[in-house]
Amino acid sequence: MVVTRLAAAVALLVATGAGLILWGCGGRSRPVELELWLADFNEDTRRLIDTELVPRFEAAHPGVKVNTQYVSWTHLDEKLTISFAGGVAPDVYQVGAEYVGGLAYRGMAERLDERVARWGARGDFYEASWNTCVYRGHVYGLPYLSAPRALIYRRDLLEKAGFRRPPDTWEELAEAARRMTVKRGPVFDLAGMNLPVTWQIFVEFLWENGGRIFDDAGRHSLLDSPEAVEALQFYVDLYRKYGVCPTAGMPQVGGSVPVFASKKAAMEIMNQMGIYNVKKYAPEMLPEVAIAPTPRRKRRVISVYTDWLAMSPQSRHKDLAWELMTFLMEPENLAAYNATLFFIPPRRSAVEAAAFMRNNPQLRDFVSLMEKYGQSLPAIPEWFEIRTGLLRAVEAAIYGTKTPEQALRDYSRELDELLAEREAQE
Amino acid sequence: MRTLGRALRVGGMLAGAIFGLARMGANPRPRRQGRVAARPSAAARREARAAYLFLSPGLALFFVFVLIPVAAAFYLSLCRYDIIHAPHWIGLRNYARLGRDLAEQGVFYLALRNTAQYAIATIPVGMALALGLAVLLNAGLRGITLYRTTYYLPVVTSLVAVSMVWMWLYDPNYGLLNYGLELLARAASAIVGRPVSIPPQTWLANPRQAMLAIAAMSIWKGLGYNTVIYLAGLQGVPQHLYEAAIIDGATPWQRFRSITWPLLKPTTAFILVVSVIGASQVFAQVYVMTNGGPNNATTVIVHQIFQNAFSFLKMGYASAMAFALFGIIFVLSMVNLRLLRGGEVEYT
Amino acid sequence: MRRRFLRPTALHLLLAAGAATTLLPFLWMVSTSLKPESEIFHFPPVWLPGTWKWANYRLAMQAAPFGRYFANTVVYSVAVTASNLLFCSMAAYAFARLRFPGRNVLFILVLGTMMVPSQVTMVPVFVLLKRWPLAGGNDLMGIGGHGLLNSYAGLVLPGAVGAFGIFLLRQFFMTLPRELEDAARIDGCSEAGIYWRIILPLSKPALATLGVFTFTAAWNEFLWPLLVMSKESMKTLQVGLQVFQTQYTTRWDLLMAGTVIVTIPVLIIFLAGQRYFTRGIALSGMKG
Repeated sequence: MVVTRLAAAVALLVATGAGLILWGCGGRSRPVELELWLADFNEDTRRLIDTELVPRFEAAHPGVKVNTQYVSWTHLDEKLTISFAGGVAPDVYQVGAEYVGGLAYRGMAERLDERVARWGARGDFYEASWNTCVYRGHVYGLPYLSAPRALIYRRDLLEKAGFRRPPDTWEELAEAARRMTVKRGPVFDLAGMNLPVTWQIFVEFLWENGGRIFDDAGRHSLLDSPEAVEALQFYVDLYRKYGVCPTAGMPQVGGSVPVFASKKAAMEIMNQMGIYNVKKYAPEMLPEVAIAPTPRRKRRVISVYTDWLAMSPQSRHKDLAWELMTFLMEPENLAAYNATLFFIPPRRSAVEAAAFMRNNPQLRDFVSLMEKYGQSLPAIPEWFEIRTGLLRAVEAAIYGTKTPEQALRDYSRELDELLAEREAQE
Repeated sequence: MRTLGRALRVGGMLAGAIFGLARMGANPRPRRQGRVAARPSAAARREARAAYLFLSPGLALFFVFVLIPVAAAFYLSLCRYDIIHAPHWIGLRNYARLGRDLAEQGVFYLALRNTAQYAIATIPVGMALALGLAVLLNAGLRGITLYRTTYYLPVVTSLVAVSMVWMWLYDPNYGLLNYGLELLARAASAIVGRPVSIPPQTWLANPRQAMLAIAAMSIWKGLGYNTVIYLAGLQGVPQHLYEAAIIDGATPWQRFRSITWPLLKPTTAFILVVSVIGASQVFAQVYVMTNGGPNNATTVIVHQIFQNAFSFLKMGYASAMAFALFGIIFVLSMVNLRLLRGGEVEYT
Repeated sequence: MRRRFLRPTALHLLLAAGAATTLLPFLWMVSTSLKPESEIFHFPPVWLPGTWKWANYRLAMQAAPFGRYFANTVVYSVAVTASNLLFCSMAAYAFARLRFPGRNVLFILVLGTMMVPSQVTMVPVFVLLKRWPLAGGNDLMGIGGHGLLNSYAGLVLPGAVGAFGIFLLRQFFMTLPRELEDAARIDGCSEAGIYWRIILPLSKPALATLGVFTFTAAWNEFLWPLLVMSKESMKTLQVGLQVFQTQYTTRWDLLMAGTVIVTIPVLIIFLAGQRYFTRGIALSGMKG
C-alpha cells in the first residue's frame, strides 16, 4: 500500500520535473542575434531605432538579428550586473558618464584600442566626450550622447538687475543671483538661481576653483584641500549668505515642468536640456534665454557628461558588435539619434549633419563651449560609491549638520580608505 | 557562470547538510496531547512516511529555489565577490566591517536605525487598526463586500504605482496633503476668528519627516492585508461563545478581551512575525520615493544591500548585511512566537 | 434598545470615513488618468478634469504590446498561485498535524528563509536558472544556452513554493479541531484522505486568503520579471508600465491610466475570493 503510494509520488515528481525542464526548453538554434541595450530613449528614439536604424543594419547584414532592449536608467545597474553574473550580458550596451572605470576594472567592457585605430574616426570626436570612455589610457567604448553644462540665464532679468553681460566670476554670479531673487517673506517667488543640491554642482565649483577630486594616480583624495573647502563654502553661501534659492528646492513636480522653464528661476547651471525645457514649456521666453560659460574663479571649466556605448567581452560576435557600434556612430545616424533626445552628438561631422543643431543658436553655443573648455569626470572604478558619499558630504554641509571643512575632511578620509581597498587588491 | 558555480555548489552542500541535520533532529515536543495516548511505533513510522510524502514536492522546489540560493548567499557573505571575478574567500572580514560601521555610526548603523524607526512606526499602529477594522467588518453589516473591497484596494495596487502617487500627494507645492493643510488652516481661521496659518510641509524632502511620511503610506497600503488575515482568524472563533457571553451580560469590550483576543493569538502571532519580517525588509517605497535621502534619513537595510550588490558590485558585503539582518529578525521572531504561544484555550 | 440602534449607524459612519480616506489616492489616480497633460500639475488641485480624456486609456494600451504582457502576467500569476496553494498546503499539513523527526527544525528552517532578503538570493537564483541542464539550449552541464531565462518556468519556479504560504496555512491548520481527524483516522482514512476531504474544505478562508495574496503579489511583482526577461514578448504588465517613464519625463496621465487598467484583474480575483473570507464554519457544537 505504502510502496505503491511512494512509487506514485516519485513518478509524479519525476514527471513534473521533466515537464518543467522541457517547458523551459525551446532554444533552437537561431540566426545570429545581437543584443543591444539602450538607456536613453523616448517614443521618437524607439521609432528611429526600431523602424529605421535596426532594419537598415539587418538588411546590410543578412542573417543577423538585433534585439533591442530599452532599459530605463533606474534599473540599468541591476539588469547589467545580473546579466554579467549569469553570463548573458548584451553585446552592445549604453552606459553613463561614471561607468568607464568600474566597467574597465572589472572586465565588463571590451578594450577597443585596436579597432578604434583601424577605424580612424577618433579625431572627429570632441576631447571631453572621448575621454569619458578612456580608462588608464585605453578606450573602452564610443561616446554617443553628450551633455555639456553651462550657465543658462534670462537676459531681460539680468539687465534689470544691472548686469550688461553675464556674470563671469563667482562674486558676480552670487551678486547677480542675489539681486534677481524675489521673495515674499520666507517664500521664494523667483529664485535668483535654480540651485538643486547635487554633487555635480559641487564638482563644478571645485574645478572652477582649480581643485581636483583625486590626485594624478587616482589613489588619494584631494577633497580636503583648501580649494575644495572654498568651493563647498561657496555652494553653502549661495543658500545661506546670498539667499538665492531655498535648500529644499524650488517647486517642481515629478520632472514635469522644470523650474527655469516655469519662470521660477532667473538662472541655472544646466545642460542643453534646459533649452529643450524652455522650448517645450515656455517658448515665448526663448528669445530672452542665453548661454554663458559657467563662472570661473581660477579656471574656466565646462563639465561634460557623455553617455556611451560599450561592448561586452562576453559577446560571441565581437566583430559584428563593432559593426553595429560604428553603424550607430555614422554621422547621420548619430545626428538622428541625438535629435530625438535633444542631446549633442559628440562627433563634429555629426554636429554639422544635424539640422536641429544648425537651427538652434543656443545649442551651437553649447558646442563651442564644450570644444573650448569641456572636461569630463576622472575615470575611477568606484564612482557609484563616491557619488553617493560625495552627495552625503555636500548635503551635510548644506543642511548644516557639519561645516564644509568637517564634511569634506570626513569624506576625504572615507574616500582614501575606499581607494586604498582597491590598491590592496591589485 | 563559472565564477558563481562554485558558490552554488558549496551552497548546495551546505543546504544538504542542514537538511540532513533537520531530519535527524530532536524529537518534536508534543504540542498538544491528543485524546489518543502514545502511539505504537509502526503507526508512528507510517505517519512519518506520510509526512515526507506530503512534504516532498513542496520541499523539493523549496530546496532548489530557496534553500540553495540562501546557502550560496551565505557563502558569498564570507567572500569578496564583485560578480565578474570568482568569489574570493575572506572569512569574517565583511562582518567585521559591519561591526566597525555600527561602532562608528556609519551608513549601516543609520540604515538599521531608520529601519527600526520604520518598524516601530508601522507595526503597532498597523496591527491595531487592522484588528479594529476586522472586528468592525465582521459585525455582519450590510454592504460589507463594498467596504472590504475598498480597504483591500491599496493592497491590490502595485507598490511602485502607489509610491509614485503618494510622492505626488506629498509634494510640497502641488500635493494634496499640503492643500489639505491649507484648507484646515482656513477652516480654523473661520472658527477661531483670526488668521491661522499652517505652513506647507516639505514631507519627503525633510530629513525629520521623510521616514514618517513613508511609514504613513505603508500603513495605508498594508491595512487591508492584515485585516484580511484577521478576518480569516476571526472565522475560527465559534459564535456560540459570544452568544453565551451576551447572555451572561458581558459588554462588547469584555467580549473582545476574554474571547476574541485570546483566540486570535495564533493569528496575531502570525501577523506580528510577518510584519516584523516585512518591515525589516522594506525597500520599494524608499527606492521610489526618496532613494534613501534626504541626507540618509530614509536609507534602510535592504536599500543598502541593494546598492552595495548592484551598484557598487560588493555582493559579499551586501550578503553579510543580509545575514546580519537575518540574525536580528530571527531572534525577534523567535521571541514573538514564544510570547504569543498558544491558541488552544479550553472553555467550559 | 437605543444601543442596538446606534451601533449599526455608528459603525457605518466609522467604516465609511475610513473607506473615504483609503480611496483618496485612488480617486486622485483615476482623476489624473482622465486629465489632459496640461491639467495635471495645477494648484489648487483639480479633481474633475476640465475635459474628460478617455482617450488616455486607449493611448496607454497602444504604447506597448500590453495584450502580450497581459497573457504573460496571467500565466505567471495563475501558475504561482496554483502551485503555492497545492504545495504549501501539503507541507503545512505535515507540519501542523503529522509528527516526524526534525519537524520543528525543518519548520524553523523554512521560516528562516523568509528572513533573508530576496535581493541577495536574486543573483544565485539567476545563475541557477541560466545553468539549468537541458533547458534553453544547455547541455547536461548547463552550458551553452540560456537555460530557463526568458521562459515561463524561469519566472514561476523560484516563487512556486513560498515560506509565507507554509507558515500561514500551518498556523491555520493548527487551529482546526482535532476531533474530526481523529474520528476519520479511527475509521481507517488515510492521511491523504484526511487532507483532501477534511482539512482542505475546512480551510477555505485561509486558502482563499493565501490564493488572493499570492495572486496579488505575483501580479504586482516587478523586479524579478524585469531581471529574468530580456525579450519584449516575455515582459509582464508591471515591467511594461515602465514605458511611460523616461529619464527626464513621466507621462503621468498614461501611466495612471495604465495602472488603473492593470489593477482591475486583481480586483476581480479579490472579489471572487473574498466571498470565502467570512464563510462560516459549521462548528457550533465544537469547542475551541
